[in-house]
This record gives sequence, structure tokens and C-alpha cells, in this order.
Amino acid sequence: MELTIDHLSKEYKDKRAVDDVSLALTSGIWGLLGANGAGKTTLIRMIAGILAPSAGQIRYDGVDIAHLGAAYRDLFGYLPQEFGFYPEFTVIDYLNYMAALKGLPVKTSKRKIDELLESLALTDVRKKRIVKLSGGMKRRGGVAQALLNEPKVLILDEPTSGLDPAERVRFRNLIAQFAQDRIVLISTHIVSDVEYIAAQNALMRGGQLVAVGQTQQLVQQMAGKVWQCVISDEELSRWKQTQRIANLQHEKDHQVVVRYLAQQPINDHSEAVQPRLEDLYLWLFDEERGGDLQ
Amino acid sequence: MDDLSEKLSQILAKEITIDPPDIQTLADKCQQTMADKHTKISYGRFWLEQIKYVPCQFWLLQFVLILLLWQIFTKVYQQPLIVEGGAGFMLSCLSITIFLTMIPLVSRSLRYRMAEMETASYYSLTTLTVTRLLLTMIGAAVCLSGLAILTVLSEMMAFKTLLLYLLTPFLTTLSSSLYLLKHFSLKTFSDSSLLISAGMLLLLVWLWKYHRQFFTITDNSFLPFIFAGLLLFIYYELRTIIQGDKIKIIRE
Repeated sequence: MELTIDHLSKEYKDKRAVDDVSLALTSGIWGLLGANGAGKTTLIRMIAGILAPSAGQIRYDGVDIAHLGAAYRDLFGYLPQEFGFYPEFTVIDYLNYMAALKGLPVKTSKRKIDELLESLALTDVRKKRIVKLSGGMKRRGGVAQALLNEPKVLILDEPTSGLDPAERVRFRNLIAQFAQDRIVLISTHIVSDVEYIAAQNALMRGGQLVAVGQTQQLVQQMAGKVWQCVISDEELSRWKQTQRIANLQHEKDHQVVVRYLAQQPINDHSEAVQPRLEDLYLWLFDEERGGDLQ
Repeated sequence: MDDLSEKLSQILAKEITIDPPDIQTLADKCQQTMADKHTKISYGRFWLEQIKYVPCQFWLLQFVLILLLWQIFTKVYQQPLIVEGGAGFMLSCLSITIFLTMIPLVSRSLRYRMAEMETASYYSLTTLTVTRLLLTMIGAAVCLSGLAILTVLSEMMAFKTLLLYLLTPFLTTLSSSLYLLKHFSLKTFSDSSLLISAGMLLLLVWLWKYHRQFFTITDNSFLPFIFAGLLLFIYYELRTIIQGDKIKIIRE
């Protein structure tokens, strides 16, 4: 099972939103990381068949998805970044409606809906009108509809926005469990959403892929570039102007533990620390300081 | 189902030289694939399912609006109705009003931001929109028939003349809207259909004011050809929309 994105571009009148992107998505969880405006949503909309590419092709197991049509949509689950609900829908109405759109027979959809309501903790609110639910519950409803047809390709655009920490963890566990023998692509700008569950990541900037690979390999690229030291409050204000600071932790006596990114340590008492995916993200997307892996 | 799996494994065992446990796994997968292929509801079933999701307010709106307008036309503008051509003008206006009531339902995916999820589903946005269009056309057909019965009962005009004034504006507006649906985005369809309907109403008012004889035509031998042409065009547009999955949220 492979979803191949081949030299894909999307051009608008005044902007090239996606620029010559090539990527081969195989089974497992993929993180699509990038700042807002990096082109993630445009890329995802093309994969979902909502937007037509200006150039390039998307193939599922070697066949152009434009030719697959309903057969492709049948194996596809999609949660858009922004979505709404018909005002009269309860949670159960919404899922039944989406199940009908996915062509599921009543018997199958009933079983599947019950399972998903249970695993997404929505059983208690199944008869409540969906517009009256919290943002987190609405998003869980959205995730449930994406999983209804047990898709082979699951695309989630910013799936955890509006979820509280406990809901985030539940979501991550659900997706990790679901992802076996499936392609799951999670687009986000929240690195922690994918850091622990995505086996592979693709990072986008300015419509282009700037890094693709296994999470560990990508993180390893940052080895020797992540440092930690203790500095004073006064020094900190200067560092904020000149250094890429990844994390700050205020200690007693006006001291601050600083985690920073640099090719070389800034001072003698800095020590190299274990890099994380977030460090790579900061390195690549810290536009003002022009982050490029050297 | 288990019998099927067993039969498949027997056939595969003859054809392929692999270990029996693997043959059984392969047979199970084949069976699952075959079962999956047949687990989609038919379009007819999908169409029936969609009736549940048409808000009852929509049917009520169509019904109340037509009754209200009928009352307004027959009571407030009683004088013009007596004037020759008044009934033709009234029916033409009502027929476009019926079309106007269809637009909110057809384009509600966009209004409630459901369109992206619907586009990515097995029965895509195109199928859904066409289904809604067909459902609303049934509503419109009921309304138009109601108007026709009322008109015939009140002896305002002959049946043939009634068809001319009741159906021609409706079918013309529907044809132009389908053309928009096929060639432009759903948003453009929604906005433009409202504009077209408003334009048609203005045209009717203009004709009533300056060319009233337009509403006094009683015998038009071209009428069957006009209807046939419009119906053929509607059929062609619907067919190409469905076949080419032509309805898009965004068009660049």
C-alpha cells in the first residue's frame, strides 16, 4: 500500500502554495509539520481530491487518484482543519449521515458508530445537538466520522486543535492503535502531537518539503546543535535577541536554565543535550534567523 | 461466508503452490475483499436516506411561501388579475419563487462548512448535491402542481397556457443554474442562482409593464419544442455533472 505524491504543485494567481512536492507515503503514521501558511492544508486538500493540482500527480498503488474516483474515496478518511455541522444534527444524526455518505449499510454503520462513540468518549452525548457541544467534543465527532469506514488512508488536518491534554493523549492512543496496515497522515504545527506516534515525518516550508524521514533520523540531524546552560536574567534578555532559544526554565536566584540551538556552544559551561523533534522544527522554521541545516 | 472461504481456499490450493495456512489466510482476505465490495448501499438507498436529512422547515417554507404568495396575488392584486394577462404574470412569478426556495437546501453544505468532508466521501459532494436537487425538485413539482390545480379550479386560464407560464420560467432558471453548477464552484452557483432568479423576476415585471401582450399568449405551437429543449438540456447537464463528478467547492 503506497500513496505516491509525484512533483505536485498548486499555483494560485499570486502564490505558489505547494511547490514541486514529491513524497511516498507507506503504512504507518506520518507527521506533516510546518508553520501556518507552509502549504500543508493545500497539499492535504489535493490528496483528499478537493483541490486539483496545477501540476504533478497523486497515485494510490500506482493508479492516479483522479482515475480511481469513488474507489479512492471509499478507502479514504478525512478530517479537515475547519468544519461545521448542520444545526439540527445530534452526534448520532451526524455520524449516521456521514455513514450514509460513505455508503455504509445501516447494520455496519450502527456497529461502527457504537464502537467509535465508546472509544472517543462520546456515548453520553450521542443524543445532544452537536452545535451545543464543546470544541473538543465537536472535533472528536469529526475524528469519529473520519474513522467510520475504517479507511486505508486517513488524513487528519490539525486534529488536536481545541482538545485538552487528556483528550490529546486519548486521540494519540486511538490513532496509534488504528494505524496498523494503514497510511495515517497527521498535519499539524503542534510537534508534540506527532513526536511520539509518527514513525516518519515530512516538514514543509514555503510550499516545499524541507525534510523527510524517520523521526529518529530527523532528530539525529540535530545532534550536536542542541545545548543547555544556566545563565542570569540579565544575560537572558540579550540571548533572546541573538540566540534560538528552545526552552526556558526559571530557577532560584535569578538564574535561568536555557535550552538553545546553535552550531557551536555559546559558552564554556554549555552542555550538549538529547535533541527532540521540536528542536528540528524550531531550527527549520525560525525564519528570522534563517534556519537551514548546514 | 465460511463456506465461501473454504471453497476459495480449495480453488487456490489447486492453483497456487503455497502452504495450507497461507492459503487459508489468502482465502480469508479474498472473502473479506469480496464482502467489502458488496457492503455499499445502493444509490436508491442513499437517495431515500437523504430524505431524512432534509430539514422539515424546508418543506414548510415551500408550502407556506406558495400559499402566502397566492393569497397576496389573488387578494391584493385582484384588479391586475382580471386584466388580461394578469394570471400569466402571477404564475410566472410564483414559478421562479418556487425555484428560489430550492437554493438554500442545495447549497447548505457550504453554509454549514460540511462540504470538504462530503467531497471526500464515497458518495461525493456531486452525488449529494444532485440528490438534494432532485429532492427539492419533487417539492417544487408538488408546489407547481398545487398552483396548477388552483389555477384550473379558479378558471383563470386553459391548461396549455398554464404550462407555458408556470413551467417555462422554472425550467429556464433551473437550466441556467445547472449550467452554473457544472462550470463554476458551489459558492458561485448559490450566489449566481439568486441573481438569475432576481433577474428573471425583474424581466417579468418589465414585460408586464411594457409588453403585457407577452402574458396573453394562449396558443403557442412552439411550446412542446421549448419544453423538450429545456428538459433535454437539464437531462444532459445532470448527466454530465454526475459522470464527470463536476461539482466542486472551489474552482480556480
